[in-house]
Amino acid sequence: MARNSYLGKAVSLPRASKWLLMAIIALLVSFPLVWMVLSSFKTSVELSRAIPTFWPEDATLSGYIYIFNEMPFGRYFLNSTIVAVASTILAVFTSALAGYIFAKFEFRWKNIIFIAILTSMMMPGTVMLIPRYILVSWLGWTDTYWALIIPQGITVFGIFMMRQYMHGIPLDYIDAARVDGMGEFGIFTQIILPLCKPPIAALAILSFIESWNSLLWPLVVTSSPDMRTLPMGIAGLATVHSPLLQYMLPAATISVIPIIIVFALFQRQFVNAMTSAGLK
Amino acid sequence: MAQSKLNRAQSRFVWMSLTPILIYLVTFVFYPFATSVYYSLWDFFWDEFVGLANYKEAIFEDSAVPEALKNTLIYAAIRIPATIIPGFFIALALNRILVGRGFMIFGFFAPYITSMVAYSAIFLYMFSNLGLFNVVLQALGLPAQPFIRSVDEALPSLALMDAFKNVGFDVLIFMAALQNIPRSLYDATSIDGASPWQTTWFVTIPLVAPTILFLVVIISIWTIQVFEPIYVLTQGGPLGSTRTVVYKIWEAAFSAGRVGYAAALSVLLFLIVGVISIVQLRIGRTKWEY
Amino acid sequence: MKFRTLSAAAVLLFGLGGSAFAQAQEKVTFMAFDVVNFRGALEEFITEFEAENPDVDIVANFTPQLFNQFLPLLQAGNLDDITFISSAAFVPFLASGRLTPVPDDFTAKLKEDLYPASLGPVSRDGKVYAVPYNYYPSSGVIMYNEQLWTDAGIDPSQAKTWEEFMQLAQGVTKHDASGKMTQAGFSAQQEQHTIFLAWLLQMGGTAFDENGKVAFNDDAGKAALQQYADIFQKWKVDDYEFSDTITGFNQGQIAATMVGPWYDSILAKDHPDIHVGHVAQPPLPGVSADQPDYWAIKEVWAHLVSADGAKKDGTWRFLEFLLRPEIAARWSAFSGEMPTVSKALALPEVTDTVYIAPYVDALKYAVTDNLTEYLSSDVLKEMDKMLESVGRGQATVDDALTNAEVEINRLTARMER
Repeated sequence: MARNSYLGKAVSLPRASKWLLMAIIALLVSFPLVWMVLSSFKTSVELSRAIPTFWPEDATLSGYIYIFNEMPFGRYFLNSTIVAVASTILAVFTSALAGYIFAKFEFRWKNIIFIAILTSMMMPGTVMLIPRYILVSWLGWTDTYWALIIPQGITVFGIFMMRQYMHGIPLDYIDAARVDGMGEFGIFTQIILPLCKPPIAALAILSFIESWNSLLWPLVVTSSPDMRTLPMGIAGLATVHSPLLQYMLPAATISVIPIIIVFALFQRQFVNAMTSAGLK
Repeated sequence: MAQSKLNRAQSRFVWMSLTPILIYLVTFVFYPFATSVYYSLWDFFWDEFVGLANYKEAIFEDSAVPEALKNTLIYAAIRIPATIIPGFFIALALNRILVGRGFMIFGFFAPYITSMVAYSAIFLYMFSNLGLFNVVLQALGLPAQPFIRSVDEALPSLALMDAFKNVGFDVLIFMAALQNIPRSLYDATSIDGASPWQTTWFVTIPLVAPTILFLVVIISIWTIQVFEPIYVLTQGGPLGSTRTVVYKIWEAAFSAGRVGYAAALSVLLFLIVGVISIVQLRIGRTKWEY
Repeated sequence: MKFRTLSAAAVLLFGLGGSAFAQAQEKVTFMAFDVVNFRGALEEFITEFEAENPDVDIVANFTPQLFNQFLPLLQAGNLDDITFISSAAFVPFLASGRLTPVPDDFTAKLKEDLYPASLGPVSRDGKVYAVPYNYYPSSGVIMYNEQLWTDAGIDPSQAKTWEEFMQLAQGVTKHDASGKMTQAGFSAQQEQHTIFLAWLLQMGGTAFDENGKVAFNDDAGKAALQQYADIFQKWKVDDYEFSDTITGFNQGQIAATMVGPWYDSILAKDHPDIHVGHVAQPPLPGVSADQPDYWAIKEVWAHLVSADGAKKDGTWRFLEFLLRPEIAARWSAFSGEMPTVSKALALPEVTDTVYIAPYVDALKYAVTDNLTEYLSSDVLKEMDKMLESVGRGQATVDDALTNAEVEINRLTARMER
């Protein structure tokens, strides 16, 4: 048995069969999504067949046509996009700024404030729904983009992640900039942010995913059809008496495809980002 | 390393940036939570101050609460190792694979970025009595299973579905941790003649211990607050076997209209999560700090 | 009313869509459930009402998440002018002072026009808190999948007693080699409480006493619950681990069930391939064939008017419009709901609609008062749990009843003060 390899390259299994095993596991894990996409082209009759079919027998777009013609899925899509993009930008900015301050400055009550922030990760979000709703309605924001974006624009997890990464940035950079007479906010935007591309990319993707997929808060805070988001559209098809799979599966596919494409395009950057973002 | 003494400009920067962020946090995180604590002392049906009556009911009277707590802990006990252990080994294997690695990472991570609602929709289809799982089981000569329609199988089914969806997150975090391990350490152990399993057990695992701790803590926090798969797939049934604490809170607030009681339950859950996190961190520290 | 005359004049002068006129319209917001058997009809009614009343603009919001959105809206005082919702969602609040009572003159009209029992779930201490539009009767009609019975060569209408029906249902129940059910003869898992409440009354029992305390932990309750348990344990024509009623029936795996006309209407729209037949539920053991107590009204769907909505003239005019017998009859025919408006029951839209008529027939057995104001959604859920636990064989009839009594009393105690 070869024992001289990096990370113990040779465990007893031959290399090719290990590769095959991993490929099979990866396929298995992603299989539900493949199945979802394929099944979204099946008719309701085919979906309730006793022996499920793999490839759609007579492929139909009727589910897609229904959700776009009979339901405002185009609008849901637009709303999800607006909300996810805006809240991601906001979350990245607030996290980076707070992370920077907690990583690089000493000030009074710093530890107490930081611990208080971390503690809030343990507060069950479900419970805050009603108080938050009452707050938002007091602000007059119900059924607006504000209500969907602003409360999602700050993430404790993001602050924590940014702080971890920024710990590793040498103070010399900052001091050098100060000697050059750069303002503190300038240092943050022009020195620190460019140095933090990896965690920013990672956090941006994670925030985007979270916002894009969030269900409960939009459910509670919006009431008119014009303000609904994609997950609400899908959930709406599930709760009425019985799940309408012939519409749910196309709707789910529509909600997943863009995020998958974005991920596929930026996968390398994202993986690098996560690897160097100090998430550990 | 942080700047130890602040000059006036720095101090101004710190407070001018921190203040809006703190106001933001206080408004949308702490204030709602404080309101919940306040609500927990009230009965909202009658706008009446009831003191600790909601807590008393939750702890001593409502038999659904211990049941929900038990369900939550079972769910967590299945869900947490079900992603961390395979996640570690998958990451270990992926780090050695060069051909097709990107595709494999994609395969593991794609379900993670899918919304739980969409993912549950497809599992709803696969779990049914005519669904894919039962067809496969029967093709293998095994008896069909009721899955989410059974009191005994529903909770494990949901926990495993959750694990299946989210294993990609653990894989990625472990890959990151493994890549940060200096190569020289492995060279040293291979000279010593350790087998790959010994290397994994005695070198790799201790080195990624902080990552394991991080994952255990953060996934515990997320898992104990699990809601969406239950909301979409079982609504707490059959017979309350998948009613977790957060689902119970949701029912109390949104179907029974008992906001005060739901608030009391959530304060209790907050305390439980806090205690669990502290215990995990303590154990992790004593065990892995060397 | 000057305002109304002025706006009417404005319509005549500028025609529809004139921007000057749009300002003078009274906006009435209306929130309703987005479901296939509701939406189409309500949209039609709104269009017709607005054509008749150009000074009123009904701003409709159909939401599939009605029940999740209702409570936050109520808590924050943000309810739409009219919310069309099940009484089960708001009965806990009847005595709380959070709901706005219907004005006396409108209440008088309701008492005159509506089927009397339908006001039960929305009334408390002589005040009416919402305008009932259709009611959910506990079912007395069995609906069956014609194809499955024809295939088995069995005629479900042959049964003269409940036991005979169960025996027939065994003939259409199928199992695979390992003994797992693959087709249910009679499924009883959709809102099980509807069946229980009907049977409870048929056995001579009642759900609650006047104080909202559980009154069904008695012989009648035991008999009714035992009947239910027998479906699963004795006759074995249904199995909780097999399939829920709606999915199974949609997929043609269930031969018969007892749900309600709303489901008939949804089937007709979503699954026209399934042909449904109807047969009256045969009498239960120990109940004579002429025992009249076949139906219980377990909940109504009602228009809940908010404090702001109550001040608007348009609100009440719209509700008056909806309560016209011919509109209520059309509502019934489209939605498969039982109309609350008594006169609508005799109109051809109702009597000729193939899936409503059998239910109207069975109405002669209706029970008019069974203290339905305590049937909130959490109480109904607790009842379902009791039924499911005996159906699954997880609890004995006695234990399930006692447990349900304790839990439900705890819930209803909160509604009184």
